Amino acid sequence: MNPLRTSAGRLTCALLCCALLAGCAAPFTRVEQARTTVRERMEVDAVGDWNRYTPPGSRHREIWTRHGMPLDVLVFFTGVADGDPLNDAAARNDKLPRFRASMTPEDVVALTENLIAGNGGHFELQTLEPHTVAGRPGFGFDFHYTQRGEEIERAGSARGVVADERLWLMIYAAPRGRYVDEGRPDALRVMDSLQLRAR
Amino acid sequence: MKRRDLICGCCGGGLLALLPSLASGEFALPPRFERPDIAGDEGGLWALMDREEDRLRRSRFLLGNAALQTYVSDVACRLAGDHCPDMRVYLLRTPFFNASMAPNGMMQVWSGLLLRAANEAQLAAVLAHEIGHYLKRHSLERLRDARSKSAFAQFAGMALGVAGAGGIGQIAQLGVLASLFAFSRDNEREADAIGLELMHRAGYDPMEASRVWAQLIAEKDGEDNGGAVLFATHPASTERRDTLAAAARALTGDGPAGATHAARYQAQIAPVRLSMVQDELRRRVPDSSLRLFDRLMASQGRDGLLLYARAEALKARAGADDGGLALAALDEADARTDTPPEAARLRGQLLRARGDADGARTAFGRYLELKPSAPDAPMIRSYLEPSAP
Repeated sequence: MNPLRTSAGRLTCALLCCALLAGCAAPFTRVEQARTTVRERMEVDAVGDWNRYTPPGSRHREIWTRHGMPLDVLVFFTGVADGDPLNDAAARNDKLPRFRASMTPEDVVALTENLIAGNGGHFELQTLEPHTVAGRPGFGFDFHYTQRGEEIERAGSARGVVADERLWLMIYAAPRGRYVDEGRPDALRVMDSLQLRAR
Repeated sequence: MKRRDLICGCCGGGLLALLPSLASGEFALPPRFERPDIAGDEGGLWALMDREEDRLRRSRFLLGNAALQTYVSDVACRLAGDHCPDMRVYLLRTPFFNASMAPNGMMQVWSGLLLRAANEAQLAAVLAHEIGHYLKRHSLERLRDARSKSAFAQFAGMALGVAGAGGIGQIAQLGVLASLFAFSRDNEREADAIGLELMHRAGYDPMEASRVWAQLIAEKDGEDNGGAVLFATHPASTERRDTLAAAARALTGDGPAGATHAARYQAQIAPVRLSMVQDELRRRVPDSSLRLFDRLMASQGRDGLLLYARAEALKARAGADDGGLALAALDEADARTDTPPEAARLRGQLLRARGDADGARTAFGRYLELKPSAPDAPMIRSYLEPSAP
């Protein structure tokens, strides 16, 4: 097997790797309601102007963007089940790291790191701290990363919680500088408004 | 080596057919290459590579260690002889085993190779092989071959990707020159033969070339090719390993085997070893990483960093006994002075998962003592609070 193809395919599907997908005519729709439901499992305040997209076949993701995916992305992981990888577009037999309900916040950071920079990219954790998420004891982390083929330094913030043996995670990322500075405050307000819906 | 010898070697009995001429030291380096006319196909290829090199000079992935840069450049220079002034080495922080050399003299060496090489001779083996491709201008040969087979569009597409202008930019840039320089089997045999000769002349033990392949073959068992992007263009086989070993024996004969310079090599990579190990762990291919770390420990000794790395890989694998094995590795690492602070954090995580709250608190406390301003310190500190689960 050609490792390039495997890794590149994984990267392509990661969706935080936006450049390749930018050319695809993804069917984004505007987020119209102030209080909106994400995949019928999460509920958030749509602070700011967002567009939304659910990847076909995705089990647990919805993607929001303000300016288009190369410029900013807010990814909702709406209850990743024990044993599933974050990248739900991966083939079933791909040997990706998988979420386990017993995972700690540090483990979730490692999963995120692998998702967005595991293909030879750089990832630098800035902070990881306890954070109340959806009214439960969760965690938040900030990070910088650069993907191998892109060479643009991006920054991001995430909020997550493991509840009911599932991972509820929101990751915002944008190029460092203007885009992340402008977009992150709204993205954090969206994340902080999260409520989980009964399944 | 005379041209007819090479032709004989490539078309006939392969590498072994080259041995008489190699052993007699007839191989002559070609004169340094002039910059080709931009109007020709070779000139165009150089121009493409020049653009890639411009990008590389500004890359965020440059390893940025001046001493190591000089050291690897010196190794390449010793191998390349008169061609030394035409070569420019770039060390890239990328956790895959790969090196490549473009026709304009740009050489890339990825940190995954530096981590995996056991000694300077093994690094030299890979560099010498790539210099062999360069000296025989195999990339130009491939370009012309591709054209003649109406596959030029594919070749050009890859080249555009290299330059960042193609639609497959991300893929091509990762494997960039690897994709571009997927040489023919004959080209590979020729580069192997020249590489061995260059190693031998520079005073290295040519047997290390065979050992490189043996290591990679062992590491790639199972999953993900052991991080060896080189396999995409350099098929690894036991036949190749054995042929290289036989050729090395023939080359050295009854004379001295040559040097490996293991201690010198380890001293040079020491400053970047922690980041290389962390990059390998980030790949999250624990079985493959465990084979690598175990091999490195067998050849370099069971130092604190490698024992910690082994424990991290075991935790990531999360097999039935892996928690216990990881703690055993950390116990062994405890006595070492070169164990990174993260080992204490890992111990805390493992003990916490086992329900050993007191042990976990002690280990987390130790981590915070060693690295009080670590990015994850607030999270770890929260585990020490009385209300922590």
